[in-house]
Amino acid sequence: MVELMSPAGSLEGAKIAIENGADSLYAGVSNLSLRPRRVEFEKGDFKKLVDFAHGEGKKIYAVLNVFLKPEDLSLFKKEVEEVYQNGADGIICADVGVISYIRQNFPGLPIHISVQNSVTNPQAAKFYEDLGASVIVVSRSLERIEDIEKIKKSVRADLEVFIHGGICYHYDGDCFLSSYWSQEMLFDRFLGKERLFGQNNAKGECHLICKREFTLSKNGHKLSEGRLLRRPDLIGLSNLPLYIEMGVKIFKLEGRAMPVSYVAKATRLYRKAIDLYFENPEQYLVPEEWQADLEEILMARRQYERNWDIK
Amino acid sequence: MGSRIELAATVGTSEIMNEIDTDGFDSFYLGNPFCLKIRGNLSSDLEALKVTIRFLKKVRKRVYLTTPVIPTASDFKLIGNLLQLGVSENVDGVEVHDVGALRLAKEYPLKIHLSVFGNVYNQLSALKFHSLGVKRIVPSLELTLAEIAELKAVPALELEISVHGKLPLGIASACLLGTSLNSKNEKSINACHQACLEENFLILDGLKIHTKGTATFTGADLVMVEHLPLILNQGYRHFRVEGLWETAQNLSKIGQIYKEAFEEASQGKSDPKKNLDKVLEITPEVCNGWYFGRSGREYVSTIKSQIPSTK
Repeated sequence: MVELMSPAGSLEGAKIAIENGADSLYAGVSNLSLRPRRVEFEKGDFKKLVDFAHGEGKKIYAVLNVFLKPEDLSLFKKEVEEVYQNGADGIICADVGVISYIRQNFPGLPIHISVQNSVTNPQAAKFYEDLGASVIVVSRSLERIEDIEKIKKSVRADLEVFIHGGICYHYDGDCFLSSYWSQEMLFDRFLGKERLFGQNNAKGECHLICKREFTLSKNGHKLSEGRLLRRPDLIGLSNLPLYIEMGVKIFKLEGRAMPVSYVAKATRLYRKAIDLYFENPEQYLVPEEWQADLEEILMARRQYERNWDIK
Repeated sequence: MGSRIELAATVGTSEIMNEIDTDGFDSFYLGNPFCLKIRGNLSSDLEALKVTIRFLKKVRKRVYLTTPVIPTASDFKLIGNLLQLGVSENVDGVEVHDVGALRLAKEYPLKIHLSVFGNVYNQLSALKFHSLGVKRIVPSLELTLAEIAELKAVPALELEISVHGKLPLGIASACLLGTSLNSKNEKSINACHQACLEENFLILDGLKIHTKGTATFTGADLVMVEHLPLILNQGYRHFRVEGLWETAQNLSKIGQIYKEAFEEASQGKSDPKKNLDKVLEITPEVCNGWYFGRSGREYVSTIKSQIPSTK
């Protein structure tokens, strides 16, 4: 069977995702998961989340996918110990040092390679498998099915794809637009001192620069304008059978920072799709009447992105 | 770290290589890793690459090859050929950007450099990459000079510091210039018109960013010439001028300016204002990247109050 993994940005969101058909959840560890603080979990709350998910017979993965600044190393070591003690079913991480540390110190804790690592080829997948990863997510920018299939065939690790959600203009983990644009010094209560916020990879929120309106110009002349860097959302409904048949194990929905209603609708839609496929794989066809639900989901994401225009 | 200073330049094409005055530089990274379709790209014309390597060896320069930045499975034949050429021509090293390319490069007797896209942010990952055969790294762009200093905890690892040029802000899977400038005709979109060799800017609220098709670069050039004494005092000896999108004439001048500035700084008789003025004649918009803990586009000057950065 395959696994539908939904984002959990709050305990309420986790409950709703499970009610709508999620098999597993992923949730950010406070200060270390590349999302706004409001959708990350602190120690006590993460334990509650684990207990809730396990009580429902679902899995829960901790997201710890920042590339760590040197000053974050001690915080990371404490947090990963907590995550392990709290009973997370796996840890999603990106930093090669972090992966190596976890493998060495927590040999029983499954490691999922983050989308931040932009795995685009079989050799890269094998690199992470060699480091001890048990799940590898392929790059969201990898569009050709045959490239994903080649990665699947090259590793024993389970493969995960993002099945739906917003997609960045740049490859994940290789974008420095936000921190080029803006960084600010703020008090960090975890460190007890001021520190920089605003880095894409290392910390803080992405400013969604690539979703904004740009002008393309040459020698001062405007050539084009609009949301030039915005890429269409990923919609995996049609490709679902291809992924399942090549052996993809986990289907992840993007959107930890999105409203709970978005998570509910997206989870419900993809639950229906997976169930429809397994009812009769050969007859799988995306029903016309799902289009309205899909449009609502896409609109919710566009609205979320537009909120950043004025910032 | 050795005591001899090395100043390297990245040169992408045979056209630039044929025109450049190599005197200012000690070594060269050959090839443009961002797009193999660029006219004259040394990474995709192995015969021209071989000729260039032999020329540079003859004039006693060190030579490093570079590999595609985000390779898919189909790029690995070329990467293998590049590595083989590197061995047969006895180059001084190869730069990898992707862990898959790193995994393959380890099979060849070549010194491996890991680029900024290796996302080395801390000593844990520096140590791990060193244990995997990497001899030199370019620390993440988002690190401050103080944070880069933490990486010296791995003494056998060479650290390379970018001191000048357009810094990469991200890589995309599709060519923006192809889709924005070409007609809607599919054949025309797929044809490459080499628009990336011209000065195209993306402008967002007054901020200019260079777009080079699949890659995005800073609008302002990184300029560290006035801060060389500081960097040298921190013990670094390997430096890079990012020359990919520079004219041969300008790159030659920049090489000379930095060569002289390094010589002066190492003798303790630096004239930062003179050197900065020379650079500003070539590149009027400047930034310091992330070295001083500000937004990447800002410029910090100790000698001038008015610097025309893009902020």
